[in-house]
Amino acid sequence: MQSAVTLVGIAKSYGNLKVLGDINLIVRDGSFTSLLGPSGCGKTTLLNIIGGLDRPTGGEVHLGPDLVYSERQQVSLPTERRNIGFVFQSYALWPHLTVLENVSYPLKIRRLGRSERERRAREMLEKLELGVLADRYPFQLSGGQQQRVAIARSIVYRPRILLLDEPLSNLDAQLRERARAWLKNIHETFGLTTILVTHDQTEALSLSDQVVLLSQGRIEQVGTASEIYDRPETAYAAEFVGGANIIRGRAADAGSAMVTEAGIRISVRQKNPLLAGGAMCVAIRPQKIKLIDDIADNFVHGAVLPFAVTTVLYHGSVYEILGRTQVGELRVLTDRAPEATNTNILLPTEDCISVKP
Amino acid sequence: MQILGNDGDPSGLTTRLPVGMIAGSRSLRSIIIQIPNIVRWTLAVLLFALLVSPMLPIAYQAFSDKPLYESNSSLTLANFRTLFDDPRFHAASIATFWFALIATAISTFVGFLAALILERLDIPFRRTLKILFLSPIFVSALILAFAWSMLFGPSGYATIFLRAILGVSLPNLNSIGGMGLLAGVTAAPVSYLFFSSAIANIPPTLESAARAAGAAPFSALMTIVLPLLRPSLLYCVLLNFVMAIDHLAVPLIFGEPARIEVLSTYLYERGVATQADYGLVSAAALVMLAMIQIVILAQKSLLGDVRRYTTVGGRSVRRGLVPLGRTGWIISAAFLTYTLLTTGIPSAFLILRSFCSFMSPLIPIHSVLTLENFKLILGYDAYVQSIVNTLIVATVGGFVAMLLTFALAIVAYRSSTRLRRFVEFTAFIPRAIPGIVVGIGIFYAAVLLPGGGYIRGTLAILMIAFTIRYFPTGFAVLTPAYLQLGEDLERAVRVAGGGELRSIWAVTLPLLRSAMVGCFLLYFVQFFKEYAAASFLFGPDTAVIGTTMLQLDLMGNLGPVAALSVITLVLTLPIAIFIYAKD
Repeated sequence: MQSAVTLVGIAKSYGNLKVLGDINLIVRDGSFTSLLGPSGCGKTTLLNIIGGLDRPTGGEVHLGPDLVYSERQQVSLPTERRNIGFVFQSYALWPHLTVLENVSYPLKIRRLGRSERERRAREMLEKLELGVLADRYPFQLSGGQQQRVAIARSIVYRPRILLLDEPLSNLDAQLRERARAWLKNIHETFGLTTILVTHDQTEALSLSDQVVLLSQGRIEQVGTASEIYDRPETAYAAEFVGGANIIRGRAADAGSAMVTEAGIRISVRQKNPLLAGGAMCVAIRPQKIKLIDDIADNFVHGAVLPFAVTTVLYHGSVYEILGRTQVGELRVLTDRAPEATNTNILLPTEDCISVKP
Repeated sequence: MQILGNDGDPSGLTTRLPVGMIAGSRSLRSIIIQIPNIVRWTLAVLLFALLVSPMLPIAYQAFSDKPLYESNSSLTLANFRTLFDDPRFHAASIATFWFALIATAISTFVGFLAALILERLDIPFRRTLKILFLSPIFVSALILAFAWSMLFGPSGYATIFLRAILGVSLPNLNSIGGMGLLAGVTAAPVSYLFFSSAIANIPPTLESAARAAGAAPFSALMTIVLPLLRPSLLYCVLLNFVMAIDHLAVPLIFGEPARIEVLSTYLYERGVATQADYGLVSAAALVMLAMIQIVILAQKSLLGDVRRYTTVGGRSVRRGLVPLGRTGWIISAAFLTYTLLTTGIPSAFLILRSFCSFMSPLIPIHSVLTLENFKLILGYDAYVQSIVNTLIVATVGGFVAMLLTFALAIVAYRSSTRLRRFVEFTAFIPRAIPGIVVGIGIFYAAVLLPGGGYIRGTLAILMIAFTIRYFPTGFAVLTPAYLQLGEDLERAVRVAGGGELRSIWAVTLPLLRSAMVGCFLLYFVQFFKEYAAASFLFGPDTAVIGTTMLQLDLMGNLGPVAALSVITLVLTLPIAIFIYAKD
């Protein structure tokens, strides 16, 4: 597989403020990659740098075989010559043009004849089930329709990559779920290399082949959706994706267990020799923690801790229970309410993941 | 507690009433509940009465066969017949049309070009050029017209200099074309402000989207930004046309010597004449108003559904300028030349002229240098009086106008929808009334209304006329800041137990202080500059700078005119720059 985007040592700073530092990344051809992170982590800046809407202050950007930006070689290809599709968070539909005119604009720029560009624009609108909207103006469209028109406009000229800047964040929750499935469909139909910027972990996990988790201008972890979720490497990754509980301590037994400050020992699923002898954290998903009323009932191997319930929140399908333990406050998701305020919890070794602090 | 359910009283002043009072008689109770509402409606109706007051006497007089101070008049169309039979009125109407058309075309074109260049292109010295280009706004059109006349007029310094030294003759500015050019150039900064705010409202992502789709920067500017400016373009044309019809300084100074009359000078001549034909003047004023209404209607029908041009911004992103390279320097140089020719050199010349007894390229300057002009102005009580009057009108009148604007903003935006629409509609009525018509109307109203005699010949009548004329501008400056405040801040005071007046005192006033200062300064500068409405209203003791300058010019005293202009500039320029340079 070829790479569609290669970033080498990308850095960006505004004066003394460092926004991105030393980003190295390969996006494979035809893949769906998400740049995931909280607001202010630099993900939109990175997308703009790939698209040429923003200039990095160092590093190289390759699109396919072409070098489009290089600080060292003084190369900086402007946006319009990169042949990319870009969907903005606000969709940026041109309000004075109809849907059809919006979609055929890029073809007009590419000097296609009038009939040809209308044919191709209509064809694209039909494919995206927007045919009936062709003669409407953007203000006459719903949010979901605007989003689809924006996508139609950005892929009608077959760009080599499609860049999406939080395209679903302006839709309400229900619509967003449908748009997510629709987006996946589009990606499979057209086979376009797609890069999505999002702060929504569900969106990133459900759509992407590759998730790039960003934090404070650095790449925290890169991997497939399941790798990121099942094998987080850092406490931050485990906490941001899936909201794991983090217990801090020091590595013991060459990285196969951790001992907290209070002297509690927790064994982990997989030995992590890299962390041996130093600080270490254990991440455990709230739904993996078990409430046990009687220690004798326990057949699963793991650490057992007394648990003082402080808050119970009923979510419908699950109960969210917050409580104090010797290793700090923990969050538990179970399908039943706790029977007593003071009870015990089990942290199954199978679900305790060792992560870098 | 059903009394709180009264939807006419969202302010809920009643919540402060002691419980004992609620036990009063039912009718008394309902009156007390209604008090805030009554106050609001009273204010709104008073504003309406104030702003239409110039119109009613004019309309009445136009259809009346006797001057308005005589009783037993009857309805007639004779005034219009006389007017339409007057060949000078015909000539003035046609001249007005061409004058307004040329002025509008020039102002819109220059303003539009300047906005595109200064807001979107990356040229050297962009900020400096912007301030230079805007500077005519700070200066009264009257002063600029004097400066141009002294420099570029048929007997102006530059005209004579070029003819004598280089054998080049400048086109005669005492013509409709010349008048249109000057009026257009004075109004160009207003057009510029229009377009620049319109450009600022277009989200940069619209341009970025075009770039991503493959459009080069300049092409994106032309295909996306330009079409989106269409509503502003039309609105700007309308505004300029109305301003040109309203223009008095340029037609008076450049039109009169060439015997070119436009509607404003036609009205001015007949309005200030001692034996004024009231009926004729009123009929002409009504015709002028009708012309403006037609332009406004045309603009509305041309625009269609404005939502096609309404853009919804995302997060605000730093907007990149279109890079130009060497071409940028050429554009900057052209721009600098334009500003120097239209504003810089004429202003500098005016200042120089104020220190000379006489000026001609044929006489060396050092032999005519003098302070006589300033001595004349400052040594003559009537002239000093007019400066003092202007300061009083601008300060006191500006302050009262600002308070009125503030009160009406509250009435408009913290009340029912009906009241809001009414106030918004009312506030913008004067936009369509020329300054001269305001002057004539207020003069008639003072004659007609009981008690009018008390304010005739005082500064109060000037303040009233100026307030009417500039209320729309002041209202438009104050309300965005007020709307931005959000009602919840005031509601929070109410929830905490404060009354309505307290919420205004504790929250609204402090937070709006800078907007109110801005509003006051705007009134101050405008009141300082105004001369058209004053021409009909000033008495022996109530002349203002503008009217004094016009009188001095009529007498051919160019030196003192220049000196008075310089005094005005010194008094207003710092404030004007403070207002416009803030952003």
